[in-house]
Parts: sequence; structure tokens; C-alpha cells
Amino acid sequence: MEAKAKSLGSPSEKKVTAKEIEMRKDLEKAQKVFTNLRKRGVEIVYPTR
Amino acid sequence: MKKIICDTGIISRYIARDMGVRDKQIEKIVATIENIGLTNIVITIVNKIELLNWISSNPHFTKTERPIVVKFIKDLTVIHINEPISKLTEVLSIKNINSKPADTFISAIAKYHKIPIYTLNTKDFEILKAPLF
Repeated sequence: MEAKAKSLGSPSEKKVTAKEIEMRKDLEKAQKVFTNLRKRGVEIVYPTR
Repeated sequence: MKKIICDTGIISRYIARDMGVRDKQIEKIVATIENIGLTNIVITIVNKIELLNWISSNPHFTKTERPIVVKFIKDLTVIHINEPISKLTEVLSIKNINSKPADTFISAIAKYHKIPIYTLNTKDFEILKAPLF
């Protein structure tokens, strides 16, 4: 039922653009880099400003 | 949803958050950005330079890791500086003689385009009367 509602374009469905899909993929990859840095014992220091 | 300028401290925490640790401040940032929508967040050229400096100043990235993080920063929409923004920055800096250059530029961009700033540094932007998210 939920799948049908989505295929009909229910109002609650959020439109996901190709740009957003690309950004999410790149974000996940970037986040993995920081996770790996932490696994190697690196402390992440955020910008001061 | 309107565009929102995300400050350097917001974007850096959003990208580099520690997935294994609960942190209320960072959870709030993540929830806020998800609500705004990834494609609605923008940065100024000042933020982009700060983020790229932040990445390049960390000596622990491998040769393959650094470009991965830079790629996401490059995905973000950037607002550049034009002559009216430059002149507005000058006016703001004269009115607020102790304002920091980066905050002043970002404030001028936000004022010129009427885009609110999402920042952890509200105090300095309030002095400059910048629109805040």
C-alpha cells in the first residue's frame, strides 16, 4: 500500500533530486574518512570560528 | 524551503561528526540540516576557503582520503563576492571596527542576498546585524 502511495506521488513523499543523491553519496564517503581517522587514533579538531 | 548559509563550524561538524558518540549539539545540527535539506544549504566563498584550509591543515589524511572530503565540500553551492558585497563589507567594518574579517564578509553576503546564517557563532553575527537562522 505504501509503495502504491509512493508511486502515485503522495503529498508526503519528499522529492529527491539527482543532486541530493550525489551529495548524500559524497557525504557518506567523507564521513567514512573521518571514522577511519578516528579508528587510527586521530582526534578531530573542528574549526574555531 | 529557502536557502540557508551554513557557517564553517556547522558544516565541519556535520561532515566529521563521530557516529559512535552521542553529542546533543551535533545531533541538533544534523537534525536541522536534514530539515533544511542538503540541496538548500549554501556556503559563502569565505566558508569554502575555511573548510578547505581545515582539511589541508590536517596532516593525518592519506593521499586518497583528502580528495574524498574535498569532493563533498565542492558539492556545496557557493555564494561569491561581488562589488556591492565588497562595499557593504567595507561599510560594516567601518561601523564595527572590531569585527573579524571573515564574519564581516559572511554578514555582508547574507545581508545582500537576504539569506539567513546558521551558525554556532551568533554573538559576532548579531553585532553585525546579520540575518540569522
